[in-house]
Amino acid sequence: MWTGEKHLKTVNFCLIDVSNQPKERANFERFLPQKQNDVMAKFNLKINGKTRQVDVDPDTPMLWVLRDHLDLQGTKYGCGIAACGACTVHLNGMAMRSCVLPVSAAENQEITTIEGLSENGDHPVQKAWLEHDVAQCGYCQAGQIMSAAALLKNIPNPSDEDIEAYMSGNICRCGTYTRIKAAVKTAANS
Amino acid sequence: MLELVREKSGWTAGKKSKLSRGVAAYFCHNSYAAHVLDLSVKKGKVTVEKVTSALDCGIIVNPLSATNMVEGAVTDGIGNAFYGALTFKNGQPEQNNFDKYRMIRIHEAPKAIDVHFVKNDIAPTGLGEPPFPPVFGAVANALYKATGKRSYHQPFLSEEKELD
Repeated sequence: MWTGEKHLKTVNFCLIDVSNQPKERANFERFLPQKQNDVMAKFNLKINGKTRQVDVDPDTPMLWVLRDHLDLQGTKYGCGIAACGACTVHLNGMAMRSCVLPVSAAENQEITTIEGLSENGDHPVQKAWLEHDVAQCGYCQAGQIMSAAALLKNIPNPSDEDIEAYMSGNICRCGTYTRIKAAVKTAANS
Repeated sequence: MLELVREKSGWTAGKKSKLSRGVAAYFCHNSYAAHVLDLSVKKGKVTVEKVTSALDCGIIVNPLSATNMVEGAVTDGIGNAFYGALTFKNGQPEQNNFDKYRMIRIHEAPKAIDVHFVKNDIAPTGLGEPPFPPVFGAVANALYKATGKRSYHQPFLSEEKELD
């Protein structure tokens, strides 16, 4: 049974039958889904204190489960390779880059997104962010706030070096770094 | 504007400072911008200690946002001047994600940025872009003061090319 046969039968506009011509078949096959079967599976996820069930491919990054399946678009896509920090969420209280976290690895673990950091947007980090007027375009800020909240959970009174070391995984093109540092200190003192 | 940045940065007193100081000024979008930048070089590692900025862009409608934007221009400008290599091969950028394109990160940002505006009653002019280009000049001049070498081609620093 050839992988693409099922698809081939359903493609109405395929005018030439290539199923017996290996070279053309291989060429055609390139455009078909790579997997033998689309493996979908049900996952129970604990997100922001609620249990949610999704039916997705086990390899799906957590970021896309959050954004596309659970309608939680506060978590942002930046690079897809854990190099920018825009997609940071908490996994059991630790900062994680959700773009490289497969949904299968996150089952039954506590996930917190920016939407669930506090009920009314009054987490000390969020309040400090407002006080210092940190955000400009705001795209990286959900990730920055999640990283900062995780930092303060681990180190309640961070030094400049602690902040720099912990927050260096989050980049910001608007260049709000000096304010981020000041806001983290304010949040630590509150 | 240059007088303002000279006064606020303590230009005359700064001559005795151990830090390497550079200045640059610029005009675009009907606004004037200037920076005085202090950096230190220790074991080949460059740290921007302080940047004093002055801008003449007419009436400031939102002082908080205006200050934030100048701080951002300074930070991103330093990042671009030091690390922002962007090269093309066969019409395609070779740095296509943040693993290859080096953006400035929080530990490389200046320790302090001091922003001042010239007060006048002229209708508002550009604010977002004018403070960005002079950062490159101020960085290059401060590097010249520190190393005695002129930097003409950005990026001024790279993984391969560390300072002596």
